[in-house]
Amino acid sequence: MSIPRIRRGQEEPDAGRVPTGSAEFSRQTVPYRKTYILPTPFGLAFALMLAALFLGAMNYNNNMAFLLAFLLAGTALLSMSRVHGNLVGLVIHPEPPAPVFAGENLPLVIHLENPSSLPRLGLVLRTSHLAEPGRAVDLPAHSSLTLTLSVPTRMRGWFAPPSLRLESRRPFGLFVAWIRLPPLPPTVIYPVPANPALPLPPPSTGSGSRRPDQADVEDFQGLRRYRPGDTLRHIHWPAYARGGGLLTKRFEAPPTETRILNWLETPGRLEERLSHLTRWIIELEAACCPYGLVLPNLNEPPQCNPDHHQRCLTALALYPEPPP
Amino acid sequence: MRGMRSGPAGEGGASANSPVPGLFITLALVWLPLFRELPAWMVGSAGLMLIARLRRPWPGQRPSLWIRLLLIGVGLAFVLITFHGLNGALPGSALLLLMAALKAFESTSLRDLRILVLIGYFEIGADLFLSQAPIVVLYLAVVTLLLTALWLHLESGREKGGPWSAWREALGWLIRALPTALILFFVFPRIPGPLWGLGPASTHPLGLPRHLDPGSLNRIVLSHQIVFRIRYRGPPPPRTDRYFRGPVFNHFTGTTWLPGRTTHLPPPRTTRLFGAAYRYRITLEPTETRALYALDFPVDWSIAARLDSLFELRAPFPIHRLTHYEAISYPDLRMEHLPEMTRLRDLALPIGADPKSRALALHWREKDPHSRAIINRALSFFHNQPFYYTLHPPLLTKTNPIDDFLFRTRRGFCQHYASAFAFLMRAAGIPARVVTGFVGGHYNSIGGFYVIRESDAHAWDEVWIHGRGWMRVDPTQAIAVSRVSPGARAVLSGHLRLAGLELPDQGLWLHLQTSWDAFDAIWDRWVLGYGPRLQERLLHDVGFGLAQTAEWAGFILIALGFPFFLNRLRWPNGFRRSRRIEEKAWQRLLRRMRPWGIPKAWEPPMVFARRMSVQLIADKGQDFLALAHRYSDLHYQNDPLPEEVRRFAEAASRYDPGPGPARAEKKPTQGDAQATPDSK
Repeated sequence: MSIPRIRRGQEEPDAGRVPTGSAEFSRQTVPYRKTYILPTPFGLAFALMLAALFLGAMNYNNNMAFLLAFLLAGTALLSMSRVHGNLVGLVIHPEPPAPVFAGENLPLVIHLENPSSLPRLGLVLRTSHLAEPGRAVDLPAHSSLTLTLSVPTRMRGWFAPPSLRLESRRPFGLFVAWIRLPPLPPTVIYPVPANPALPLPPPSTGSGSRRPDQADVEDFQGLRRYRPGDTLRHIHWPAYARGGGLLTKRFEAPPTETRILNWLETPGRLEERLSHLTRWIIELEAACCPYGLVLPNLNEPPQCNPDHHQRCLTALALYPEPPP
Repeated sequence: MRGMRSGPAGEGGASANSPVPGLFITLALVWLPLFRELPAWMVGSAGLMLIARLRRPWPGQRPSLWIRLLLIGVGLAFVLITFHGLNGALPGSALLLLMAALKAFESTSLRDLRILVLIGYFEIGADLFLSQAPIVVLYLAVVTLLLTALWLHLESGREKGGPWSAWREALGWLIRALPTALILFFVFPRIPGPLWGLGPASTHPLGLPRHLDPGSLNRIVLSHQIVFRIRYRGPPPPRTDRYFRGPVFNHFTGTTWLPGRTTHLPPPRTTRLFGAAYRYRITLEPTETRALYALDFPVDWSIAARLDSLFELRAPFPIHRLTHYEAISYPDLRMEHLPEMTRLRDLALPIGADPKSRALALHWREKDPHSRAIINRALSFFHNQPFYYTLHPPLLTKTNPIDDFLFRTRRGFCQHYASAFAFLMRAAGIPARVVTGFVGGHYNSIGGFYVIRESDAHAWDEVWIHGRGWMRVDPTQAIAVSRVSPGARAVLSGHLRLAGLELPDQGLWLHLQTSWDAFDAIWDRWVLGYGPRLQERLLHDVGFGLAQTAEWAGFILIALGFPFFLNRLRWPNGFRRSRRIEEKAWQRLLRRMRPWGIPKAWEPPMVFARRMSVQLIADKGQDFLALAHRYSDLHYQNDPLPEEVRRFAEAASRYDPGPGPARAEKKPTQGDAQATPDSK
């Protein structure tokens, strides 16, 4: 629990940096000592039944009933170490969660690898506060699989995924063994997209700055000499091959459809505004129209690329609430 | 308990390929040994409830609480009415059956099915309380395996496979649990005696009845259950003396013989013993009665028991478990004096009944008042008149049953003859009483003991002869053998043998039965008879005194730790994991390499391979070296991939070292010298 749980409204110290997708979580092997085991309620009921059987055997001095009771007790004890063995030595590799929109389920993805020849039975991902566990799966010897558990999200902002535990009750359900998985990094929950959507604000062609070498859909304008910083994709390789030196293709953006999404020009109250802006951003990104975003605390110049998209949505997600 | 509802298997009952029918069949198998003992309505209604549940699986909801409580109440009431209480294993099983059926009826979730599994295991124990015969134990072992397989299936939530498809896995679990179970079985401290009175375990008491109605021995005589086994120290008594005394009846009501009122007086002192004494050891099955059986007449015994004035040996408590005792008997016991009270009682007859029989007895007495003469007349009466021995006698009238038997039906078995004879003697003024017990016994040549079954039950008489005391008279033997019905002949071979008549042995069947009886005796003595006393002796013999608590605590800890030790042995796939494949492949390869040499004791595979590679043709040597390399990689790996192991085994079996070495040209090295015997 080294990363503090961060709730919405709390200041993230490095708000511009989004940890999603960047932090690589190390694979780790489940150690023997971090695997906990306890009897399940059913296990306790089984123990009660065994005690009753044992008392009956003692009362009637019935040797075969004694043997039955001891046989079942032995099986339960054996199964205890088997349940424990379902987890020890597994290689787990949690995947940092990707942002989702509020109200959607956030999939928490854990990759599991079984390096041993012992099949791992009945592996279940479970959160502390969710009653319903995921489906139990078996992991055969020398194989790997991916477990996913979806947790519901409700509000925009930083979301610290609940601590997960990986547990197993097989083969008999008498004991439950579990390990606490390392906490997943917090992720951003984008605001709910407005539904129905308002019409897009009118394009403001003049105000957007032209970035000629930015997008793919722009029209070819001509060639110019290469300058450091030009992207490799726009270098005219045939010319270079003929020995003509490095030339860069110049592009002209289409003269239309650049929009500035302005906080002040969006109707509604705070959350409604954020929802509408989110909706527009999704639509414009899908249509690949450059857009800019102007918030009281942010001014994103018009662009159309995944990074930009993510930056805008993150800014909306983390937009501070006014103090009450 | 909430957590159980949503287990890994999810909704247990709803799926198309659900384990529910399999579970129900398994439960039916669990109760099967009791179907004959339980009332038919109970078995029927339980079956109906199971079928109702199967026909209409509850879609996630159960019948309302009130209906369920009502059903439970009705079931409890019926069990109480049927069995007059809940004491004992059979009423307990009946109640458990109803509860299980109700639980099955309302089962909706995995949790319900798990509870049914628990009830099933407990009921297997209850079955064992009622019978521990080897056949029953074997059957219940199979049922336990099936239930365990079903449980595994239930927990796995598997959709594929039948309900018992996990039987192999279940067998693996049970076999691996067996060492722990056995250690616990032998060392877990046994507490003698019942903890509380749970009532009799068995369904009906074994042995002889406490009243003697006409026909009360009928059921017993047809039963083949073993009552006791006897092993004589020294030569056994002659056949005519093998009478084992049980309850004695001296009060006749006109139809029924009842035990005498003075049975608790101490035995008379004025006795004299004649002839040889017989020492023997008896192993008595749990009879649930206080009667102990002993050869006529017991004078000393090794168990807490007392002999009463009728020479009945009685234990202070009903015999609830297998009991062993030694006793000494003298077949010839004489008494001088019959107390007047006893004499009057043993002459008493109901007033007015059976006039014809009385007249006959008085007629005999008038002819010759000597007791022996009267007895002989009575016996020849049975022999000469057309009396038949049959197990299915016609019914006798209530008012004059003795007259009816002696002059009209003349068909009956030992009990009828003993009863009529005692009546005649009393009517003739000779004190007489009826004795029940067992006669003969079947010799088991394998075990060296005699088996006495319920079918050996018998009734005879004792008459008082002045100057001699009580003398045994067996009127049944007076009947002409030709008048024994064939059905009775088969059952009563023991009685007839007693009369000096041999029936032909039944060959193989008899031999099988003898072996089975011997096995049964060992089972009883050493498996079922293992208790506090035997445990103490066993532990003492291996050098442990049970006085030290620490010692058995240590034993139990070892037993409980055993599973963890087994776990260290790495048996991942049940008990089928055998030697490692790569090792076997390598050994096979080494056998084929013998013409070139065999590895020395200290030689690891790589060193051996290097030594060999110089002897082989260039390519072959390199290949062998590579194989050895792969082998040592795999062999010293913790957990090699099965595919790699398989590929290595294939490569090793494909490897051909080429034509054998030309011995003559080569000077043999030390390694080759060892290999020479194999190469030729």
